[in-house]
This record gives sequence, C-alpha cells and structure tokens, in this order.
Amino acid sequence: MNAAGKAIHLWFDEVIAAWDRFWFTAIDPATLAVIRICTGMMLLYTHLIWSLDLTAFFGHEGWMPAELVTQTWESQGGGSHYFWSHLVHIQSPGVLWLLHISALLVFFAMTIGLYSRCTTVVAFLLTVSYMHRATGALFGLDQINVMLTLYLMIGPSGARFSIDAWRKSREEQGALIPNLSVAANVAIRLIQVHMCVIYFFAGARKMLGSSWWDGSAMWLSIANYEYQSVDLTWLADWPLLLAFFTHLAVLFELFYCALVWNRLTRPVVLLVAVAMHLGIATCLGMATFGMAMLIGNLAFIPPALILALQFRSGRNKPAVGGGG
Amino acid sequence: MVKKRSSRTTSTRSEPSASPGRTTRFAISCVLLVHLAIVVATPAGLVMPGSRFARWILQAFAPYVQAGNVSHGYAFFAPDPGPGHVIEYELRFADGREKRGTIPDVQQHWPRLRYHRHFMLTEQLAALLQDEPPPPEDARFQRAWKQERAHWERQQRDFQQRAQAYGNHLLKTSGASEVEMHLLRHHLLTPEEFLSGRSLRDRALFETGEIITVRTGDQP
Repeated sequence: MNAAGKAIHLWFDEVIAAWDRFWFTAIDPATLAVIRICTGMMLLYTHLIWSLDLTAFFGHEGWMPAELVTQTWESQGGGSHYFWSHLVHIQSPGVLWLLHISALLVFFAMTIGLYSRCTTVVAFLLTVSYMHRATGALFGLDQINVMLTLYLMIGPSGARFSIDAWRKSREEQGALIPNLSVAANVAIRLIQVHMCVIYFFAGARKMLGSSWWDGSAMWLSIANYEYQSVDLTWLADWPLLLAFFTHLAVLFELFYCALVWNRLTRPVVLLVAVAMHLGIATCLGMATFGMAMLIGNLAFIPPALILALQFRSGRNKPAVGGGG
Repeated sequence: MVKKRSSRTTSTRSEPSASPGRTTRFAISCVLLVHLAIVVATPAGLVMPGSRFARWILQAFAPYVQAGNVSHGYAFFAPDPGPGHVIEYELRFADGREKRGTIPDVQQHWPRLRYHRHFMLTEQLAALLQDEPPPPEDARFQRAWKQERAHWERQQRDFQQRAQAYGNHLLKTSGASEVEMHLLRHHLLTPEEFLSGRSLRDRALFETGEIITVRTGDQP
C-alpha cells in the first residue's frame, strides 16, 4: 500500500473509531432517567389537560370527528397511508374515558419508573395515537413529546431514580448502582442530534421570512394578542433591543448544532436556551412547549453532573463513566 | 443491628453493559443513519422549495414516518410571525334566544394549554384558506399550475368540512338550531402604531375572512 493509501486507511480507521466512541460508549443512565421523569410528567400533564375536553377532541361528535380525521390522513398520506390511532374506533364516551384513564396510569407509571421498559413503549404508542387522533389541535409541544418518548424506549431509562431501581436494590440487599449502558448512550445521542436538527431547521425556516432579517419578528410575536400571556408591548419603545433579540434567536437556532458540542461554548448555549424557552413559556403562553424543549436540552447534561448533585444530596455514590 | 444496616448500604460496582460486536455495531449504525436521514428529510422536504431528494426519502419510508410520527417540519413562528385567527360565533336557538362566544376564549379555556389547543383549532383551520393560484401566462407551466390548483381545491374542501364539523360540535353541545361562525384574522400593529395609542384589541384590526353558517341536520 502506498503512502496515500495508508493515509486514507488511517483516516477511515479514525473516523470509525470516532463514530464508535460517539454512539457506542457505555454511560451511566442518570441523564436518561431524569429525562424519563420530566417527559413522563409532561405527558401526564398534557393528557390530563385533554381530560377537560375529552369527548370534544376525541369523541365521534367532537371538533374533528373520526371520519374527518381519516380523510385528513388520506389527504396527507394518500389512499394507502400508515397513520393510525386506536381512538378513531371508539364510539362510546364510557370506553373513551376508560382508555384515557388507562393511558394516564401508563404515563404515571413511566414517570415514577414502574416497569419502565414496558411503560415507555406503551407511552410512545399512546402518544402517537393521541397525536394522530388530535389532528387540527397540535403544536410544537406534541412534536417534542413524541420525539422524547421515542428515544426513551431505547435505553434503560428506569435504571435510576425509579421504582424499578428501588425494587432491584431491595432484592439485591444493597444500594444499587446500575451498569453503564451503551443503549443509554444511543438514546441520549439521538435526543442530542434530534435537538440539533430541530433548532437548525427552526432557524433555517425563519431565514425565509423578511421579519427575521429586518429585526421586526420579535415585535410581531409579542404584538400577537392571541399568543400573549405577559404584556411586553412596552418594548415598542426599544426597537434596537427588539431587533437584537430577533437576530439572537435566529443565530442561536442556526448555530446551536455546532456550538453545543464544544465544551467551552456548551454552557453558554444551554443558558441561552434556558433564557429563550423560559421567555417563550412566560410571555407567549406556551409554558409546556418551552419546558419540553428544555427537557430535550437536558440530554447535554453529563450523567456525572447529575450524579454529583445526587451525591451532594446524600444519596448513592456516583458511578464511573459518563459522556455528553 | 448496625451490621444489617451496613450491608444494606453496600454499593454494587458499576460495570459497562456488553459492548456490541463489530457486525452489530455496523447494523445499528445503518439503522441510525437511515433514521437520522428521515429526521432531516421532513423539515428539508417541507421548506419551500422542498428538496426533491428529501421528499423521495419520505415516500420511501412512509410506513415508518407516518406510523411512528418520527419527524416534523419544526417551523416555529416561521417564515414570519403572522396574525392570529379567532372564530366568533353566534348560536341561535329554536325559542329565539341567541348566545355568542369565541374560539379560543381566554376566560373559558383554562389552563393555558387548554386555551392553546382551541387556538390551534382556529389557526389550523385558517391555514387551509389560501388564495387561488392564478393561471400561468406561459403554457409550459400549465401542468405545475394544475397540480397547485388541485392542492388548493383539496384545501378548500378540507376547510369547508372542518368548519362544518366545528359548527356541528357547537350545535350538539349547546342544543342550538343554527350557528353562524366568523373566522377573523387579527392583524398586528407596528410599534409606531402602538406608540401612537392604538390598542392590540382595536376592532379595526379584525378582518372577517369567512362566514360559515351551520344548521341542525346539515351534513359535513
């Protein structure tokens, strides 16, 4: 093999090694467990709110009757589409309530980490089913909920901070420190990469609008009365500040996918994410969406940090390994 | 007693789970790459003008994309934050009574997530209302225009059906015999207009887009 061939071979080996390190390093499931608890609480809250208008949104005489939903699926996916929901087959309000209460119990079990391997899978199927059925009333929150639940199925999210872990530690007569897990790493990596895709395209699509270029988009958002939950119209006196925040939002979204991987810039990126999403949560009336995005950002918190915080609070000793 | 307590707090050393072999890693890597391609394809295929390659991926993996709800467009306040949409309705009862309401209603729809669900009903209904695509001057674009027009006609039909369903739901839950719904577009003020003293709720900012009347017995 000549020198060029060797260099190419070496480069390939390095790429494969880096790929393997990125995806297949075993980590402590602490971060995934925290994401499970937060996502479980978000799913529980989201579906508890559906309870207030259950028949209106999911009943056959509701805002979107089942026939209309199936027509929408056909319109989106053609005659042989693959959209589905168990809820389109329910006619009786009693059965609907029974199934809904069962779903709430599944989300609760997922939150506390009871039979986590099963409940995360069932929670994912339920989340997708509710989303498909509630066509016409969905927004960003639902997209993030389903993304997080999808990846929670992959890793051992119940290996820490859960009833499952507590029961296992009782059975084994000792404070349990779970095995480092490759599956936990794959799940965390997928959430991280998916968050980068979400932010990048959120920013890229804003680039198609003139208001994000001329700096007026922030004003247009806070001047939308239907979204408004805190009145920020006093900022009309501060056009330069509004323009600055407009540009900052776009730059943050576009470059998140690059800056969040660097150890030096990551804390800044995560702090901006917290500020931005708390702002959206408080001022634009989308607390749940803001919180869901922050749950996604938790994937960038290394397990070692979570375990250190837990250790400080006097619980189990931290495990070796980490990642992020 | 002390001994028992001590044994209960003994920690088990953490061990890595069995690392997958080379073949398994290769197989998992292929699945990951396909999955991530699909995750990227949806927003890339939806951005106008949508990528032809991304749309091909979405078609090829339609069962996974649709059944698993794995990917979305992620257009938050994009391309521009636009006006809000509300429905003002008037219910008419057989005994001559009348009752008015709005969708969403910040007083009635609480907590905020509940309000937002109702707000999305009106926003996504309004999103179906698009201007009819004008016929092309150049005959070469006739085919593209026909496709656009077919899409527009589908949206018009979807709009009518959804609006009818909203009306039917209001009639069923209220017992009224007729409902007249006004889909209003709430235009936004500029900072200068706001500073000149105009209110965000100025009635002149509400433009009536469509008026839909539904009566008991109407078919969706």
